[in-house]
Amino acid sequence: MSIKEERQRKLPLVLDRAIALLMSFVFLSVWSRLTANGPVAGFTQNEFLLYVLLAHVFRPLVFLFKYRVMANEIISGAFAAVLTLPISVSWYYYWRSWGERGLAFASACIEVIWLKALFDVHWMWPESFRAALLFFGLLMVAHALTEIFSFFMNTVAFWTTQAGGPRFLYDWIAEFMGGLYFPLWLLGTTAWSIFALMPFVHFMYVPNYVWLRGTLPAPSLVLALGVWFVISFCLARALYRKGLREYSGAGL
Amino acid sequence: MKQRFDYYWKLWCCFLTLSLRTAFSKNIDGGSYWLGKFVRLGFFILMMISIFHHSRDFLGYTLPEMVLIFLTFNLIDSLSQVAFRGLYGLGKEVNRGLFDFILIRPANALFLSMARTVDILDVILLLPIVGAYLLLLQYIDVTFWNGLAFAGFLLISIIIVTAFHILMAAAIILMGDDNILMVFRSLGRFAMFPQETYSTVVRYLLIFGLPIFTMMIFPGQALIGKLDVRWLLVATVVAVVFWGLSLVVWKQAVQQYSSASS
Repeated sequence: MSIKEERQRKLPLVLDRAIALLMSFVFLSVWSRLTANGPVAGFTQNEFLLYVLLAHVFRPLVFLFKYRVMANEIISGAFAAVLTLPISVSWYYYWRSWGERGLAFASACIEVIWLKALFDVHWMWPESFRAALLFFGLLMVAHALTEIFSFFMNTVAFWTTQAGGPRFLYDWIAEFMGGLYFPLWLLGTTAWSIFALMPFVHFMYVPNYVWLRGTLPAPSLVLALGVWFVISFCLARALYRKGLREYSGAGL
Repeated sequence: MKQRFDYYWKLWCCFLTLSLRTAFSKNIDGGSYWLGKFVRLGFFILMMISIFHHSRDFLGYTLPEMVLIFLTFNLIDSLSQVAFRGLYGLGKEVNRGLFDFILIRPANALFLSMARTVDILDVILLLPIVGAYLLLLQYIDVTFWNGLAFAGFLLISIIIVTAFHILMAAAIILMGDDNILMVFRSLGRFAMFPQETYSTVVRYLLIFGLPIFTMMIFPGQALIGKLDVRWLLVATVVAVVFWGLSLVVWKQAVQQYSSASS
């Protein structure tokens, strides 16, 4: 049903993909110029470009959220009907997001072939089976973590109709600190030490780094990831329960 | 002529007042959106600083010059948001047939479509942008002639950015979807970096075909003295052609508008 819903809105889908494609094109151009005379920050031109391609392909799995629908439905009151469904609310919105996600991911996989040819990128798979497994595990964790954060951000709608602004702010912070726009290995030591404390680095940068180098950028990141996972899960759950108790069902 | 100008100026002031009231009635949304835009600005500058951690220059540009190019892009982008925010939501009105109510009002339909909302957040965002601009000028050697060329290119930018929005208004009326604005804004992001970043084909396409670079990069490049003043003539021709084209397309789009059934 979700895929059918998305296929009905063909034009927005095409335009969304055009936007993603343009952004990747810009960054591929920037990094190819920057690294034209040799490696930068210890990374080759191919690694920089492959990072952009990986971000382009995996962005729909990590950064594409349908959960804003949840906030809108809480505000409009339509959420009351969702509560009566014989399925968990979080799973309901999660599966609804797969129409948009799935089509965007499939489209990104095709687009990346064109980008790869255009910028002459040599595609490299993870160097070992262990690295591939680690990448896949981290991608799944990133996927789960962004879903939890997204759910958490949408619970704001239980208390205010102005849930769009906080969401906009969150999206920009998450995308930037997550390494969607540039590989975080470019950061200076001070900036990196701040970024590494945040959960966002696990969204895009850490999995991509593992794909390229086969190891984590810093071993301590695993501990930080675990801590953030527990904190965000508990917080989202607590806020959802509190919000639900105060929810009038008729919208705000 | 003056009477007409006064009429539209009063109308715009009314829209400004209404937008101000709306913005202040939504403190959380307004504050967060503004902070989001500010954070975006800051992060992109951080990205540029990070690039210069590893490289002395980028295609012959120093860090202040590159940030200035980026700020020029932001300046034009914010100005367009301040002036033409009304286009956001036009798609929904076209789909519902509400555009009819714009057409019957005693004012230019194009003006009403584009200027009925003023993005107050971008008005506030202009302050740090202009502040950073002035700060950067201390690190860049700007001559009187460069300043004059900057003013000329900025004027041309305003003409092109207006023409772009007229074209988009026409596209929204024809397609009934305002996502086209996001495509334009994404295309604009090509101008975050110096034009030398891109291949010659892309550069010429974005100077003459869709004059994004003419609109968003040329003023900054002129200010730092990296653009021959003869480009002013080229930019003027591009602006005049683009302006004329946009008006023709707009008239065609309005003629093809078929009210609620579209």
